[in-house]
Amino acid sequence: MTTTSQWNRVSRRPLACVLDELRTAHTLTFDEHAHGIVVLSVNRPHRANSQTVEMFGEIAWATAMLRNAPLRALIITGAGGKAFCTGFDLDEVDVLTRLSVSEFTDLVETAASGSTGLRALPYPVIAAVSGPAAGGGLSLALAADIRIADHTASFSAGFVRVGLSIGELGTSWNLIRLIGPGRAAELAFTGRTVRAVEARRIGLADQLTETGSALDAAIELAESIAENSEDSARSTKNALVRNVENNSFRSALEVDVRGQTLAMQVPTTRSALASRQGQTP
Amino acid sequence: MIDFEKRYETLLLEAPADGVVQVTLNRPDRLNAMTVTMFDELESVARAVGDDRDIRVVILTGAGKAFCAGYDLDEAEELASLSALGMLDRQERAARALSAVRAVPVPVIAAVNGPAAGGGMSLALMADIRLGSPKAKFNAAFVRIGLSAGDLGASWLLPRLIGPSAAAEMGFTGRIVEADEAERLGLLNRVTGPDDLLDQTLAMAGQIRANSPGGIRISKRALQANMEVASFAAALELENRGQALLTRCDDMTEALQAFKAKRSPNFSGR
Repeated sequence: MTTTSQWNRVSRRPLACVLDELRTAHTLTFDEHAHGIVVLSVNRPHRANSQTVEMFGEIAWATAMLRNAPLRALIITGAGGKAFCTGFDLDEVDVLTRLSVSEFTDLVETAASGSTGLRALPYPVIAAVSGPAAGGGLSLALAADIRIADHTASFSAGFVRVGLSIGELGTSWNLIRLIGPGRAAELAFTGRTVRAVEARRIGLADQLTETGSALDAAIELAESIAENSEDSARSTKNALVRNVENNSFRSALEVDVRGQTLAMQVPTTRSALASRQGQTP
Repeated sequence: MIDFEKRYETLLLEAPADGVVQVTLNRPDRLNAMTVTMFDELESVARAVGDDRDIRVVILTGAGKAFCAGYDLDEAEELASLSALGMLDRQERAARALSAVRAVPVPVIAAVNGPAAGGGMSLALMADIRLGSPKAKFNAAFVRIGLSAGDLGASWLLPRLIGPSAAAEMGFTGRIVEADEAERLGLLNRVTGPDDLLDQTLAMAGQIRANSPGGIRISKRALQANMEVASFAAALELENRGQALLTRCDDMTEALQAFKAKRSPNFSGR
């Protein structure tokens, strides 16, 4: 019997091999926890984990690599625990003013493929937010499926303060869907900072934890997700992500129906159901 | 250009701060109910705002006790006598006015000072942001007079703003949603104090005005367009183009120089 990793060099590689390669990154670190849970840290704590041109490239590259790895969940966080990610490093923004249109387009397309890449991962992505998530850092948090915030967390769309717009890294698309058009407009136009308690209330954060415990809570959540079958998580993630983009209810149902019918063909689903027979749900 | 000297029958135009135009629905004796004239005037003001580069924020509010009670029932009596196509003309005229308000290129903040019912609620939904005094209240009154909640964009905007289930309840019952519940649902961004609705609205307008004009304008377009764009990839494409365009404007460079010099930026909008 051959394993997938033996024959499929495109879509599957052993986790250890992928992580070895990913650890050559300069601006990101990767820690492996039990059960295939990987923590990706934005790693520029001396600059409040702000982003550079190099980091955008590394995030895009990492998501493409992670697409091929047998993870059960990815957690995104900021190194040092003081800041999640504060967006483009203003010391580097000079670079932007010197880029030609085609160079800038290269850069935003690379950066955007990081957002697309995170959405495309076939397992849950959880953002553990301590400290500020601002500008591109907010975009990064929004690219996750779930956001866990501790009491130091804050969120802001500072783009309009530096002459840019909320239209960056999928933020305009994600924010209206997450918190509704009215609140999204307010945050986009004012650029004001949303503290943790308000973020929880308006749905920007899904869980609010004690100070310093966002990452622990994210790992705990990832472990409880990993208790379910890998196929279920994958099918669920893909259905959620695809059906948000699906305008047709009937075709969304078709995706659901086919997914569920397929799931019933998986032996572990059958044995899980069999073992529950006679139990009260 | 906005002409503050111009007299409107149903609206009052003021400039409460630099770059801010306040449009007040001004039929307080009729709870600011909508008439054909009001629709025409709203459309013409909305278009004039679009032509005036000095205007950065629009505030929409009501004179007296109400925000807007919806279509004036005194005029509504006439509706039954209109032919089907005559009624369609009337309806399209109203829809055109509200679409023009939604199409204003700068942020529109509704300062909801009292009841916003029926078409009045639809008008409030055209704004990007809604602030309300404790007296603000909303109802989708349409079903109470034999019409449907499918009026003036309400059936499209309401489920997107507060979710399909809360929108169904409001649409089917026509019940009144008071300010606190409206805030919880996301129908209001915030409930202000009883006396400082306009102050808080102006403060928010000030916060918006401190940011770059181009960034705000492209932000509004991205938010509106990407709510209607189903595809995430197409939404990213639209975003990338907007951002590339803004890097060619003066304001990003100005913001960076200001940041380095530790001063506030002077945005020119060029």
